[in-house]
Amino acid sequence: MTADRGDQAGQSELRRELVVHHRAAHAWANNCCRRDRTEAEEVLQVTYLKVLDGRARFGGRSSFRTWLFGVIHRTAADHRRRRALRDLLSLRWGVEEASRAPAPAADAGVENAQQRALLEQALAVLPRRQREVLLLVFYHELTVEDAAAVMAIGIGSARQHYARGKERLRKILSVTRPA
Amino acid sequence: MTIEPTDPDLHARFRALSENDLASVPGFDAVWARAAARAQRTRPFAAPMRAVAAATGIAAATLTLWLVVSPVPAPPNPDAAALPDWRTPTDTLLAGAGDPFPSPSWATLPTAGLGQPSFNRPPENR
Repeated sequence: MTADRGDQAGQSELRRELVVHHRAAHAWANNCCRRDRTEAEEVLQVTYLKVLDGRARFGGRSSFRTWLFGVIHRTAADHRRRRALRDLLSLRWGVEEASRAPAPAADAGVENAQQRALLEQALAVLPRRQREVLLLVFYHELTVEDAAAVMAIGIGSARQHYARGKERLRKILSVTRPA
Repeated sequence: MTIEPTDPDLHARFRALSENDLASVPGFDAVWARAAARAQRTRPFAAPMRAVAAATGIAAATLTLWLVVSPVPAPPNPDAAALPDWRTPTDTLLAGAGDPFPSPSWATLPTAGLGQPSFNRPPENR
């Protein structure tokens, strides 16, 4: 499957694949952007443009989903670098850090909302790679091998981030109860 | 007593987070429409910007290359200014245009211990 400009069949096939994986892609973009939905949508738009105008080509070496997640991951990293440069130039650290905090949950299931908020806070504390590998494995239900492909790191490195991240997440989420 | 969540607990928590997120995902068409609008906004500037960036890059590379390759002019040597006036002690050995024989002159040789060397004096003062 390629994304040549003249290849209408390839274009429509790509588009169909994007539609199939859209929800998962949106969720992964959201996770790559530290759950900033506005930024996540920008990243996803750029990713779709890259895929459909052929700047990102699916080579068939992995599943379409793993490849798409990799493109989103790279696009989010570019976006993050550009924003860091913009922040540096305009010295807007305070404003950006404040807006990056996770939004408070506002739904009926208060306990569920609290659990989600706890998990989001715990994930925010983790180093980026540990957070990403845990999200790919637990949230997106990828294997550690696929997570390594998405993150463009070695499998050994991904396993290490996974083990350390999980251990740290468990400690953060542990509860102390009287014996 | 500290209770750490097990793998199934973690899975359940992540699944709850995922379900909550997926409930509010905008549709593909809406995201694609905004992406297309973004492409329309940026496309008119993309080609000229690329051309300007390429021209700037080439100019910068050329300037750098020129600065590296071109020889740095040496500062003027104050002694060099006197060179045209300097004459060798043996210049009289060189035949002039109409001279049939060279006419050596001992007066142009340095006189050790007897004052200033005379080889820089004009011929009429020798």
